[in-house]
Amino acid sequence: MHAYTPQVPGTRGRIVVGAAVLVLLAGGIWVSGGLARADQVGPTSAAPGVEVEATPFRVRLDSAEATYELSDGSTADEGLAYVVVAGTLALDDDESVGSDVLGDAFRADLSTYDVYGEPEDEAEPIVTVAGDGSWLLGIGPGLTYDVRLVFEVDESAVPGQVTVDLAAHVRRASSLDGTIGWHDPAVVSRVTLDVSPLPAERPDGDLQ
Amino acid sequence: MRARRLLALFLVAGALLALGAALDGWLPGDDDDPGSEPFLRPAAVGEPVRLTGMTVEVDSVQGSTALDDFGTELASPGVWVLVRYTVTPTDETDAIGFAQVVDDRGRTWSQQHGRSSNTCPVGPPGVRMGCVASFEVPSDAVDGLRIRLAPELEQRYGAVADVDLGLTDDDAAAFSGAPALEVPETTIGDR
Repeated sequence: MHAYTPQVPGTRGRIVVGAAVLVLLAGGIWVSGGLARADQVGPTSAAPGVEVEATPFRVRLDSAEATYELSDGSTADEGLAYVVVAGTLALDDDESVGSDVLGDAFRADLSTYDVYGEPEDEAEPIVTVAGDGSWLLGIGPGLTYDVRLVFEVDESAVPGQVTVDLAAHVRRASSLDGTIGWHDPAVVSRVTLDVSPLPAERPDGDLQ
Repeated sequence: MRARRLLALFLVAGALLALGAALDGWLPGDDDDPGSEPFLRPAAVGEPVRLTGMTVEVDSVQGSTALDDFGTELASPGVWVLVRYTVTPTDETDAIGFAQVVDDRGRTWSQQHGRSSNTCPVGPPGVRMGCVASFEVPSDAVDGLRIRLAPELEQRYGAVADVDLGLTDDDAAAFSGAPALEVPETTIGDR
């Protein structure tokens, strides 16, 4: 009959076990991609004129104005006006993206109307190309556009400032059909711009 | 003795971790499905390509920095590439529902993304349908640009025409100084 005596590792054993644990820990970190700085929580503020990465887009917002008339000649209905934000837009990916992803990239702190004149829950702009005023329904790689973000608002509610939230997307497989795409928009940056006031009068020939 | 066993255990675990990390880049990803990739049918301008239920043939390619889109001139920060092609359905009424251009770097521009478009009316079997696609691409994409045409957006297991547009850097330079392109109307029968 032997009395029970617990096996306690000696000093050398402890060193070996400690070293092995450290090696395993380092190996685990290496295998899982290494150490990286944690994502910043919440959106950052960006100054006008500064380019911002809102994956997959690169956006620069320069200025904002209130107007009754757009560059394609269309005018706001009676009692309404446009808040137009000017800037640039480019795509940072090799595959073109559609209007759904582009539309989710911008929101403003405005009460707006959609193209049918109905109030919107969220102020989503119509993205147009400066100059011809054509609608930009998505964007392809390698092209940088001068854009105008157009919001239709009540004429009496034109603000002195507008804040535009820029959302980044994540590229992953859709949980519905498995196709790869851009999902999960989350606001990463916020730009506040002074809005130049409306002209004193509506343009001539405002017949709606 | 116990320390040696522990050391051996950790060494084996470490070796397995390293092996797993090395193999990770070789194994198919969760979203990979190489068996369902579309079958690309390479061709040149003027060469008919047989797809499921139709034959398609690229007729001509033009380029410019501006596109006259039914009265509205659309200026591009890059260039417009206008492709005219003919579809002849073989079995039932059909059309090309998917068009995309791809450059040598693998960048893609798809119809209805941005201001690109593809207009191809549905036609009956045996009738040649003249279709038009326009794409806005950067000038550095023109050299070696290819167009991919398929009956539908869903292309898994299907045949896709992959037509080399025969463009070079010289064409890109010429496009930069070319007058605005007018978008032609689609046609029924021979052009």
